[in-house]
Amino acid sequence: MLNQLNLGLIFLSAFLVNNILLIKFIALCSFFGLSNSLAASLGMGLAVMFVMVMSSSVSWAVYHYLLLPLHLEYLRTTAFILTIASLVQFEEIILRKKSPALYRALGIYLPLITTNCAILAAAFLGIDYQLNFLQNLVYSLGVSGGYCLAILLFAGLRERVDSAPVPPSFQGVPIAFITASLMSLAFLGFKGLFKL
Amino acid sequence: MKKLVNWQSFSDGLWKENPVLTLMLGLCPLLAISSSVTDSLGMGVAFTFVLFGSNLIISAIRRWVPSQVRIPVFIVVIATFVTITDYTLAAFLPELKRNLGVFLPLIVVNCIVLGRAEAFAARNNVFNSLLDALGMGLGFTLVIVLMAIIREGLGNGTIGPLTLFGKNYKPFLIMILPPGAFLVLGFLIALKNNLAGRRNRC
Amino acid sequence: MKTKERVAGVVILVVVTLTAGFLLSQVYAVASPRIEEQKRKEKENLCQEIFPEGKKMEDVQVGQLPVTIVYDQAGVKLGQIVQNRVTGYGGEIFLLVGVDTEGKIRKVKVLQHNETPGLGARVAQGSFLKQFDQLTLEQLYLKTERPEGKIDAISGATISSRAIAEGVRKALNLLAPTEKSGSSEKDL
Repeated sequence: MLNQLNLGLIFLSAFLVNNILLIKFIALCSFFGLSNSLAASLGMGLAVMFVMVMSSSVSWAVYHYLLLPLHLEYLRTTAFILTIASLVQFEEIILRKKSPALYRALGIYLPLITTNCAILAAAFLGIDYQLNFLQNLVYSLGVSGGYCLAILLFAGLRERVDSAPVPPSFQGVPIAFITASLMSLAFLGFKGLFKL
Repeated sequence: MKKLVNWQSFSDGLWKENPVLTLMLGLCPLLAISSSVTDSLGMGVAFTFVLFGSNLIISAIRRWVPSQVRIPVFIVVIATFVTITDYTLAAFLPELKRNLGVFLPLIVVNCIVLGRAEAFAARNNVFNSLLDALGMGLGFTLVIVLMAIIREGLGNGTIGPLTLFGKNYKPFLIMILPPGAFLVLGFLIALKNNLAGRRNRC
Repeated sequence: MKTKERVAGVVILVVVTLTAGFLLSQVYAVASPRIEEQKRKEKENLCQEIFPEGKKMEDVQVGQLPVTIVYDQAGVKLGQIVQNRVTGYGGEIFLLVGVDTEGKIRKVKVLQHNETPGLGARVAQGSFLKQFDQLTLEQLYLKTERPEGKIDAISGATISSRAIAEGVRKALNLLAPTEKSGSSEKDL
């Protein structure tokens, strides 16, 4: 499956074809929660990229070097979520010490990320697709890049929709879903990319 | 004073505080799985089971858990129930487990489960927490199955094993594709807003 | 007081985690043999659908692909089932290709795919896959591709249809040399 493709295609697949938000429906809470502001979307998008690349690499290592040799595969869910939660804590502390500017930009999004399902999903999917370490790294870059792209595009659209006349029942969330539906339709067009 | 047994904690989850339509939680499995009625029903049951189990344990041990380690303890409890569900389905209903895919383990980070643990089970007695879990679980199941009926019915002309419109039906394809999920949920929420708004005006 | 609270917190967390881990190990111990059993049964069912009279199976590796050789009750070889994958429109398509001892297709099944629902996904349906039964290597093309081709593509899903035909051809090609040189003569 995915592990047979070259790195470029793995990236494309995760970035566009199987976009985590619009095609795979993962991490939608933050998608609808934050996308009413372009700045917040950018912050969350970058924070997700930052955390996801690290956490899925660490989870990959935990699974292959700790859980598999000890035959503890059944602890996968518990181990991953705890790994991610502690990693996020750790990153928060490091960021605050080493890079106050970055911390100010991303800090408030970091605690939210533990329950952002995209992070956990990327860790699971990397294992499910049987990727090796490098593929897993590229995959997580693609997934988080796709997250960033979709949430930014969507935030831009929503700012425009806000000034449009919308029937009262559709104001707010419903029209956001319909906007997302049209975006998802556009992303569906990337499906044929595999036959290039 | 809080009543010992509060039936409202059950009924709130169904409509007034419906986790999906009102609180906008738990959207990922809702949108992803609702292209098939059978899978949706399975997801609803699995989800209710996890919510029930975690609410039970968390409300039972709430007095002994200090607040600093509250969240990690909750997460471990939830992850345990999710893994139990995962293996049970793999052993007895492998096809359902394959269709639910990554969304089964992802119940761990489902905002409804953690949200209810934190907002309700950590503050209420066991019985009320169970009612809350059932109400929320049922509320979720109702919406996901309703969406699946609309999507599968229009998009494939079937509801589970039933064929709806006869052989010559040209399916409304987009409904079972990802965009259809957003579309249906958008319209459902608009409908709920409309109904709720009308009641308020009266 | 503060350290005491902290210690209590850690103790609780450790106790909960250990209990959870123990519980899961028990669940796993009960469930895992059943899961293996289910997997085996599923594969057996698929093989049975391709070769209903098959009784014994033997897994081998030919080239890169897993192949199952199927025998009947008396131990006579009925044919082989190749597991292959091809790139379709939306990603990989996993195929099971049943080949009889004469090198003709017995039956083709789609295990897993990611084609567009309602369009490409129809290649996984019986009505499309039935066309492959009894075909030989040179007939495994779309009618539009070659004059001797026997397969009607699904309208609106030519890429998916062509991918399946290609995957079946590849599976057959893989078996062709072994069929000629070795086993089929022995069976005579």
